[in-house]
Amino acid sequence: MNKLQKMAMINLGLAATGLLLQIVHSFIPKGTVPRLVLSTLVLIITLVLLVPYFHRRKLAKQGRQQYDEHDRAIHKTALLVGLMSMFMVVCLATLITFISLGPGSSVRIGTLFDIFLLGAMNLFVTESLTIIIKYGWADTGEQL
Amino acid sequence: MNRLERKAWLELAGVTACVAITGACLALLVHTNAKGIDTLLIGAVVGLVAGLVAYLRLMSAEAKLDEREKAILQKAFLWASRTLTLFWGGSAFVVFFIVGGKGLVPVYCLPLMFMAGLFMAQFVQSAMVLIQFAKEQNEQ
Repeated sequence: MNKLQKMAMINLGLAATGLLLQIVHSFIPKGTVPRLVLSTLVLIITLVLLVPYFHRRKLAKQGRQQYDEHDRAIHKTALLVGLMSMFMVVCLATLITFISLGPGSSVRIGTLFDIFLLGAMNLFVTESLTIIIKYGWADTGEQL
Repeated sequence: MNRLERKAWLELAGVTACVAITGACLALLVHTNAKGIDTLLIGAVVGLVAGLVAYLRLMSAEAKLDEREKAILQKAFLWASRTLTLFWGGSAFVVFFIVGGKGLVPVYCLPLMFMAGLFMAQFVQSAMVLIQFAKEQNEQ
């Protein structure tokens, strides 16, 4: 397992925890302390998840040994898959909120951030999963 | 004009038409204050069929592209995705500062933001394709 795979595993663990917390968060009544604690935790996890992105860029700048064309292709595909899944989740969340509440009603401003955070967590989970799967296939010699 | 440039213009026109139609449908839904699972089902079925048709057409069109065109398209898509993500995140913060932390937002703002983001992303994607081709032509 190389450094990038380890980073993807850590990312997946953190992002899956974040996604779970975000889903639990939406079932807790509004304005309560547990909800606020969960929101803060999810926000912290999101910020922590941004660190590997900058680290990966640093690795890419350092040279071919640590981050070659093969790694670049895997990360590009993973990012595309992650973004597509994020768009679908955001679209679905928007549609469900709109239809279940009705166009005449209003939502709290936090709902916008909740939807955005849900999409972001989904992006991190899908991207990390794709990286791990792609490296797994590459190790077993299957075509990428 | 090559096939990718034509595709970029066609997609921009297509998404503009889609945003206009969806905007009109949204206005109708707001006007009639429609809600419930039946409306969700109608929306989901129409959306799924339209999405599937668009996806199949996209796949068949992309299969005809060469490596260089695919690279240009992928780069443009990445830029469009970044724009979309930034737009959603940014608009959430803008609305937050406008209405305040305890304020309420009309629920029709959610699909409006979604559609505005999609339109902007497609605009950026088409612009990036055309800019990259123009740059290549200048270099040649």
